This record gives sequence, C-alpha cells and structure tokens, in this order.
Amino acid sequence: MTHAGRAALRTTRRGITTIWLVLLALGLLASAPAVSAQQASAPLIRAEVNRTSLTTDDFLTLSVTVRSGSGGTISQPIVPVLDDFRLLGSSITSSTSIINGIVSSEVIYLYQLQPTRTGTLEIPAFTIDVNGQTHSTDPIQIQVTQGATGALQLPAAPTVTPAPDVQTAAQGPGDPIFVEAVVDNDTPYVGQQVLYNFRLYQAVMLTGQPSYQSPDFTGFWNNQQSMQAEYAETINGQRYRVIELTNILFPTTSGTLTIDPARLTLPATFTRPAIVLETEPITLNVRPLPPNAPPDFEGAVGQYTISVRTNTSTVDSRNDSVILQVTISGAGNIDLLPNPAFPDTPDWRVYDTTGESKAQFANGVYRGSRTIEYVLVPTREGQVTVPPVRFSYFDPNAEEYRTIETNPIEILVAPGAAQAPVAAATPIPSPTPEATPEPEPALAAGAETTGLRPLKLAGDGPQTIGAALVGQPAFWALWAAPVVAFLGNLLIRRRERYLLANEASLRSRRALGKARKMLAQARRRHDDSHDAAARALTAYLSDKTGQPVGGMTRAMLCRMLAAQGISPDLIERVEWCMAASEAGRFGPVRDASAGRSVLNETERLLKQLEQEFNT
Amino acid sequence: MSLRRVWTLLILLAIIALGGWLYRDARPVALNDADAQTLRVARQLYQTGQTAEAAAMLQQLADSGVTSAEVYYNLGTVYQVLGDHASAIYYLRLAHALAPRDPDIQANLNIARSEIDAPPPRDDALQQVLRLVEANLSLDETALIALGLWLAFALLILITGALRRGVLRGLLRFVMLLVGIATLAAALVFGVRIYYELTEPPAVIVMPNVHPRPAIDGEANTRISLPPGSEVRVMQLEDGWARITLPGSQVQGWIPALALRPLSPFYNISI
Repeated sequence: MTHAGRAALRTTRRGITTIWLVLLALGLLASAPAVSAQQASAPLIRAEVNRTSLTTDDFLTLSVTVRSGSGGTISQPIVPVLDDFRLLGSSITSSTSIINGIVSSEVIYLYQLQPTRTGTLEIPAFTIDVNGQTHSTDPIQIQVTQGATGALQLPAAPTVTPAPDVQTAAQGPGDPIFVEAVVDNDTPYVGQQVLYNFRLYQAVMLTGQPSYQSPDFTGFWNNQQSMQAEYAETINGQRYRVIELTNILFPTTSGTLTIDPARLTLPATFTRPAIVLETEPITLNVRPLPPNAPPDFEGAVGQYTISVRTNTSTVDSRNDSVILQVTISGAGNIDLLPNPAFPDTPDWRVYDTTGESKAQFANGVYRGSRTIEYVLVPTREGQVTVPPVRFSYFDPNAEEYRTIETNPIEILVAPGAAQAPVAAATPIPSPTPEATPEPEPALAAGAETTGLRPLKLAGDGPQTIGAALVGQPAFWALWAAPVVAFLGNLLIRRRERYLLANEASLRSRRALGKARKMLAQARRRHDDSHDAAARALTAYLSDKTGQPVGGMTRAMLCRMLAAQGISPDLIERVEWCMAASEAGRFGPVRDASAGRSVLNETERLLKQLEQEFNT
Repeated sequence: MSLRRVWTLLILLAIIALGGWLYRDARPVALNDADAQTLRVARQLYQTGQTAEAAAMLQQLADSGVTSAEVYYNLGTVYQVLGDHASAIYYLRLAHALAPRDPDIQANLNIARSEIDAPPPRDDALQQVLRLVEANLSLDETALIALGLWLAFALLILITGALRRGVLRGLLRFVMLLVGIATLAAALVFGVRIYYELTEPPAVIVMPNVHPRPAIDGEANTRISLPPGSEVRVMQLEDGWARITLPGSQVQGWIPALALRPLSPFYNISI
C-alpha cells in the first residue's frame, strides 16, 4: 500500500470513528427523555408474589410496591379483604434513587399470606389514591392444594399483656373492625347448654396475627372446645368478614353469673400501636333446678334416651359374668353424665363399672352418648332377670324431671363348677369397630385397682366446719367463766365478812352521807322540816357514837358528846337544834320558815360535827 | 335477792350467751348449694376420667376458703390418682383433722402414705397417746369435750355448795370427783394438743429433693432426703428457712420454708 493510500485509509477510519462517536452522543442525548418518559409511565403500584402454587400448609410472600407520585410523596395502599388468606405478618422496605436528576422513591410492603382453602384463589387488587385518582394492582391467581395439617385455627392466646403503647378501642357496627360476644340463652337452668359466641367483624384486612383471650367462664363447665366459623355479613351496607368462635358452656351453679369480656389484641403495625378490642360482659340469670327431683337424680340435664344390651344371654353360674352395656344418648353435657346406679338385687353382684363418653357439637347442640358397662355375676341359677336400670334427668325444654329406664333382660344361668375371675367375661362386640376408638381405662376402675375409696358428695360425710373453736374468743371466755364466777363469789364473801366485822366503823363512815340524804329527801318531798331535822340528827349521832340516841335525854346526849370530845359550842348547837325541832314538832303553831332554818342549821351542824368527830 | 345470787345468775346468763355466740360462729354447717353442685360436678369429672379438671375444680373450691372434710378428701383422693402424693397427703391430712373417724379418709390417707418413701414415725409415749387421740378426735371435738366437762364440773360445785348435807349432796360430790378427774384428763390432752399445734405445727413437704441442713448456712445432708409428702413438724422459722423435725425420729434440720405446706391454722402465728 502506498503512503497516500495509507493516509486515505486512516482518514476514512477516523471519519467512521467520529461518526460513531457522534451517533453515540446523539443516541445518549435521545435516550435521556426516553428513560424519563418510561419512568413516568411506570405504574404507581404493583403487586407480585414469590409463588403462585402452594399447599394450605405453606405461605407466600406478596410484595406490593408503591412508587412516589409527582409530588414525591408515597401513599399507603388500601389492603382489600382477603377472604381466602390469612395474614401471618407484614414488613416494609423503602428505597430512593436519582436518575438523571430525578429523585424517585419506592416503598415495598411485604405480606406473608397463608391460604385457608384449596382451589384457585385470587388475591384481590390493592389500591392507592393519588390526587383523587385510584391506582390499583392486578388480581393474582394462586393455585392451592391440600396440605398435611389442614387450615390453621385462629390461635387462642392464653394471656395478653397489653404493652405500654397499646390502646383500647371503643368499637361497634360501622367501625372497620369490631368484636362482640353473645350467648344464645341468658336464663338457662343449671346444667343446661349455653352457646357463647365471640365474633370478630373486619371490613379491612388485619395486619399481623391477632391474639384472642377467652373469658374465664367462672361458674360454668367449659368443655374447652372452641368451634371456629368464618362467613361474610353485611351490616349497614358495609361488608364484613366474620370470624366466630363458639364455646359450649354449662352453668354449674345458679344465680347471677357474669361472663367477663373477651379480648382481642391487634398487634402494632408501622402505622399504629397495638389495639385491644373488648366485648361487653354478659350477665346470665341461671335458674336453679326445680325441687322434687327423683331420688336417683344425679344432676343430668338435657334430653336423653337409654338403651341396653348384654354380651350374652346364657352364662355359666360359676364361671361367667355378664357385661351389661347401658348407653345413654342425647343432647346435654355428655362429658359429665353420671353413671346410673345398678339397682339392688339379690340375683346379681356388680363387680365393676366403667363409663365412656363420646360427644360432638353439631347444629348448635352438644350431643353424643355415654356408655356404661357393668360387670355382673349371677348369684343363682336358672332364668335370671337383669333388672331395668333407671336414669333420671331434667329436661330444660319441658322444664320437668324425666326418668327413663332400660328393658329387663332375661339371662339363662346354667349350673357351673368353680368360681372364675370376673375378667373372663367376653367383651361386647362393638357394632362399628372401626369407628370406636381404643377406650381409655376409666378412672373409677383405675382408682379401684389402687384401693382408693370413692369420692364423696355433699352430705356423704361430715359437714362443713365453721371457724375453729380454739380461734373463737367466746370459747376461751367460756373457759374463764367458772373462774370468774369463783373469784367473784370469793370477793362477795370477803366483803360480807368485812361488813360483818366492821359494821360500827362503816356506819360511822357513812353517817354524814346518810343524814344528808335524809335532809335532801325531806326537802324534796316537803316533809315536816322539824321532824326531818330531828331524825337526821338523831340518826347521825347514833351512827357516829355507835349508841342509839333516840331514847336519851338531852342531858345524857350532851354528856356523851362531851365524852366523845365534841366542843361545848357544838354541843350547845346540837341541843338547840333538838330543842327547836321538838318545839316545831309538838308546838301549837307550825312555822314553815322556822322549819327551813332548823333544817339548814342542822345541815351546817352535821358538817361541823363530822369535822370534830374526824379530828 | 342477795348479791351472791345476783352474781351467780349473771354468770349463768353470761355462759348461755357465750355458748350461743360460739354455736353461731363455729357450728358445723352444710355446704351451700353452689359448693355442693361443684362437688358433684367434680365427682362426675372424676368418674369420667377427667381427673385433672376435677382437681382444678376442687382446688378452686378449697382455695375459696371452704373448710370441708368432703372437699379436702375428694381433692386429696384426686391428687392421689394424679400421682401428686404430697398434695394428696396434705389434703387428706386436712380432711382427717376435721373428720378423724371417717374410714374413707383413713383408708385413702394410708394408701397415699404408702406411696412415698418417708421414714416411719417412731413416737414416744406422749406422742403415741397424742396420735391415738388425734386418730379419734378432732381438735375441735377435744376442745368441746374439755370445755363441756369443765363447765359441768363448775356447775356441780355450784349445786353441791347450795345443797344441805344429805344423801344427794354426797352422791353429787362423788360425781363431782369423777367429773373433776375427767376434766383434768381432757384439759391435759387438749392442752398438749394446743401446745404442739402452737410450738411444733405440722406441715407436709411438697417439694422434691429436700435435704435438711444442720444450720441455715450449713451444707445440705444429702444422705437424708425427705420425699414430697413427708409429714414433719416445724419448730422454728427464720429468714425463709424452717427448722423441722420428723415426729419420733432423730431427723432434724433446716429446710427452705417454701418446701413446706402448713397443716395447722396456727402456723403463722405460733412460730
């Protein structure tokens, strides 16, 4: 190749390169608006699942991506009612990107969903509202096959401890989520079935797994089986998905019983704290069973029938036993049906009694049957009748006691040889062996093998004891009573002896009080003042000197007082008082004012005499 | 009326009033309808094999403060079936304390006791007498007998003192002597029971692997193990520890008080 030819080639290559570079630059410039346009035309919300085929035991992850609008804000999607899925959990992630100077954000909402049934299920559209325009995702079809364990039940959380940020919501029809509890009968009889229904109404999808706290059902026998049902209901034009939990209750006591509120805790999400929804408490007026119950009534309530069968119609008198199978069927608390007593009869001895209950809830009624087996051994040979077994119950619908009984059964007891163990009895073949589960050993039988005595009923044994005697103050007071009586008697005797020995001294000590009392009494009764003054003074002096002064002359009295150490002027006043009293008493004229002055003078005199006597 | 007669009359009236008060507060009463129904339901549960549910129901009844030999007996029996021998012995002992002559309670208590590997009690003479009395009379019955004899003795003294000399007075004095001796014996037995209840209240060990220690801060004696259901007497409580003794044995030591369930109503006030 010549030099000119090489130069021409280089020029051509350079030109091609330049063209390519120009084209590339043009292409880039042209692509920028295209990318921007593509970004602008992308949907604001889209939904994707990680799998479209699964079993009822599995779960899928639904991601709902929401892109920021023109204003750069993100709207939260509205979660539709997912009839066929249970929401197990949710989470959120976000990202922000800058492309060609344009800032965009994305938020991805992740939901773990578990199907509740098999078939072709549909995840409905999620929607967002941007500037008055609704954007929605496309529905997604999911193929679901049956898993090994079936659909999950709403778990009943044993306890719920509200977190500090939990809020209790007032709620009711019209709210997007609310709960209620109802009973089907608020005036049942003791032992009558009551259905307790807890209902969760939800018009929106719940995020997170709610936890349910059942009431305690104090005062009820609760068979611990919560039935669950799901259905849709429209209230005031609002469509709700309803989850209903039903408990079968049997009141065990009469009176007013209250079922505490049930609680449902909705876990906290990224947009709100946890919410506790509570039902209203329910009050029932449980009626006691009426009196005049049959003697063999042991508390069964419901509607029952009775049937009987035996494992044989012919036994060896010494080697065989008969298994009598009594079946009580009907509606009621089958789990607690008492075993009817085998009637006392000299023809049979009852060796063992076992019972087994089978019941289920259907059409709103708890019904089933209890089968009781009696192991009977004949006590004589020949045609022996198994007597009817009676069973009494209270029918709450008819509101009366009813007694049903089995038909008598004839057993031919043939002569035998030696006594055989009871366990040699042939069991009764079950009519449907495949449907009968392996019976668990009955507790009564188990207890009998250990030799334990049976349980007692009220009245079988000693009565309830009140407060312990030794803890009663009255008990110890009774112990002390004779001692107190003895001590009191002793004191009384000592006092009597003392009084006897010190009569004169006591009279002397009480003389002034006694005389004043006489004067006061005379004033109160308006007695003759002269007479009262004389009696008071005489009595006082008698008590003080220990000698009767009533019969003394005035001179003798004065001498005696002088001998007692009374001052002459006081003796003179005593004499004056005595004289004035006599004059007033026996004089021709009764002067009331003179009498009062004698009375007053006597009172003053007594006081001074007391001082003299005491000194 | 002399003061002495007035006093005697007052004391008699006081005794009648106190007796009425005591009867009102401490007389045995039947279970109310609700409790009787609960007892019946629990029995049905037990009969139908729902032993744990029966135990829960009876436990609720016992915890509500019902003091009934029937409730305690049923609860103890149910616990025995459940294999909780300690609780069985505890409640059967409570039942036995209230109704000591009930053969069912005695039988089930003996069965429960035979299930545990506790050292057999070796009582001294006084404790043997006490055990004999406890096996036949409740504390309340002992108290009532002693009180009745004491009041009868006091009444005889009163009547004898009021009578003039004669055959009747001589007869009454003889009766008074007999009643006095009986009163002394009954008061002695009652006093000993109260003394033991106050100073060494009984309790049942309810926890496994309980080894007594010679001192609170000492090493546990692992050679001696008191199985759940062991019946002990508590001599001292201190800082959450209890000094216990096995009746009639040389076994003494400190164990955590939480391992005990007291049988005596005086447990908390006596030691």
